[in-house]
Amino acid sequence: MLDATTYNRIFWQINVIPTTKTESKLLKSNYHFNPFAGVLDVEVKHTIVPRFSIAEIVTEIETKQSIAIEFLGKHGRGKTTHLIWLQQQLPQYPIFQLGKTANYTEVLQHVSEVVFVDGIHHLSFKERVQLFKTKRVVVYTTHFTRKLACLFAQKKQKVIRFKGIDTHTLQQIITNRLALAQTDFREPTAHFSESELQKLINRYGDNYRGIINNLYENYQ
Amino acid sequence: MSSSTLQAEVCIDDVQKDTDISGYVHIVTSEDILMDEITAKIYFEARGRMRGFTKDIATIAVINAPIIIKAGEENILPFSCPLDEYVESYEGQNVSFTYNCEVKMHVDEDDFKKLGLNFMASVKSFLTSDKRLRARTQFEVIDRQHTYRVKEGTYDFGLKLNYVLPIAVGIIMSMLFIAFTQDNTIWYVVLGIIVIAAVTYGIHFYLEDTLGKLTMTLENVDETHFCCRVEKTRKFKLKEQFVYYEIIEEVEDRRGTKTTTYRECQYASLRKEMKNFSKNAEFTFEYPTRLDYATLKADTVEIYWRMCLTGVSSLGLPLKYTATFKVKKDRPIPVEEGQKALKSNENDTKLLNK
Repeated sequence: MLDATTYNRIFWQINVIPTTKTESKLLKSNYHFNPFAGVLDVEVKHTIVPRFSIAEIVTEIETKQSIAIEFLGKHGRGKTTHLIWLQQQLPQYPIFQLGKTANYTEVLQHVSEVVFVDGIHHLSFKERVQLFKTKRVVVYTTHFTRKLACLFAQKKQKVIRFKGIDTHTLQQIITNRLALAQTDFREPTAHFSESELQKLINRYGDNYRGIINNLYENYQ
Repeated sequence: MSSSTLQAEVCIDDVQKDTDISGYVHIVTSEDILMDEITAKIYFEARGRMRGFTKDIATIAVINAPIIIKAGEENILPFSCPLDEYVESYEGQNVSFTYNCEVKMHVDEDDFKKLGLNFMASVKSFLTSDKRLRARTQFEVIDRQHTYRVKEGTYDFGLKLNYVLPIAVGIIMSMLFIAFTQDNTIWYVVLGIIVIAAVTYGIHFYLEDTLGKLTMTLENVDETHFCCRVEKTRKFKLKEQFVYYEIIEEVEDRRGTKTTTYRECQYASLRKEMKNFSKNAEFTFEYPTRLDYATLKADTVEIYWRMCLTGVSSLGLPLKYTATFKVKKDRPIPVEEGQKALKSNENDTKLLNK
């Protein structure tokens, strides 16, 4: 069953909503909450602008091959968001957030042969090798490549790099967030100008979270 | 194509502690509409520089049996639910707590057709997946009947690490290495880090030992003030001593692979100078006028109060002592009781000074 927010979004997508240009000044009365605040897990699918083809990854996971899928990039590039979103497409497999809500034993002892792991740096080299050997598919986020651990575990590895940014993608992410928080869907969605986006990119590079945090502060 | 319209609005009355949340749904239609079901869901929502989260408070059946919404009439449908344990609404720098009421209306299938596919353009509410109309409103839950109360008792101060001297030592060392060594190996960096850490903790433990223990006793005075009595040992000697309290908002951002903590001072009281601080000193502080600062721990968000004592050591180092304490909201202290407590404090102080 689709929730109400999904319906808002669908409605929003099928109707051409007029846009209005902004110089980063958003009227608080037009939004239920700060549009640049952290979203709920259930809202990730509404705000994400996917970096890869979901069908391709799902095929790799669902075919019987043994593989480690690495989401590689610096902090704030969207690795965890993509991991949560991917797991939501495959809810039959568990997700573990190491160092926050889960520990190594839980991951290893879970019956699922496919696991999603956020924060694999919390594991020692030995534990990573053991994890790669035990589970058929491990989809994980990391700041540094875990190629060596994969080699030791004789595991095929696929690396998805989270690097780079362009104004079009940033515009899409911002528009999605504004639409999610907007109180009245008939109102025109605020639109950030190309120069505003470029300024943000010049300052934060491809650090999406840095940009969103900056927008959060400005709004707040 | 039908031109029927339906307008729905949700209103929440003011919410007070120890009472119910009450509100109503206001519906206006251009034709008679049979409503099969109307439910109101009340939930708490936290948003900020962290992963957002919600908590359901209650789901209420606004109508128990199908009703006809009369055309052109102001249809007011009241509802209410008890409010037990809750977190107050809060608007901070890195987090906001709000309450929402979402009303879902199930229009009878035959009447739904009356509205036509075009009705979305003329309603204020949204459509859900199972052809229910949705209206939402946000409201505030702030306890205005109760006032702040510190948790009375004795608290120990802790000395904050001071980085001024270690950084100065680090800069001097780096300059010396650059001036006198030709080969810049990584070992110099490692050595520098070890020296800075050793100097930092060495000075810290030395100061802690020489200055001795510092404690404070907190007591409530009246609904707008509390009293803080700072007590020290003979060894404790600092110049330019000031005491104040601050309210800190701490948000742990677990959105990414790495956890980041945002710490912001939301409120700082007036700084009170400690003069003639022989053995103890007593201060009366005023509570902030904002009522949403009570001590709180909700998921990855924390609001806490801490007393700060600043001064300069004999070595010229700026030092900061802090002691965290709890503040909750409770019924106001009767004026007489507060004055009694204040008088008793004054007597105690006189005795101690003697």
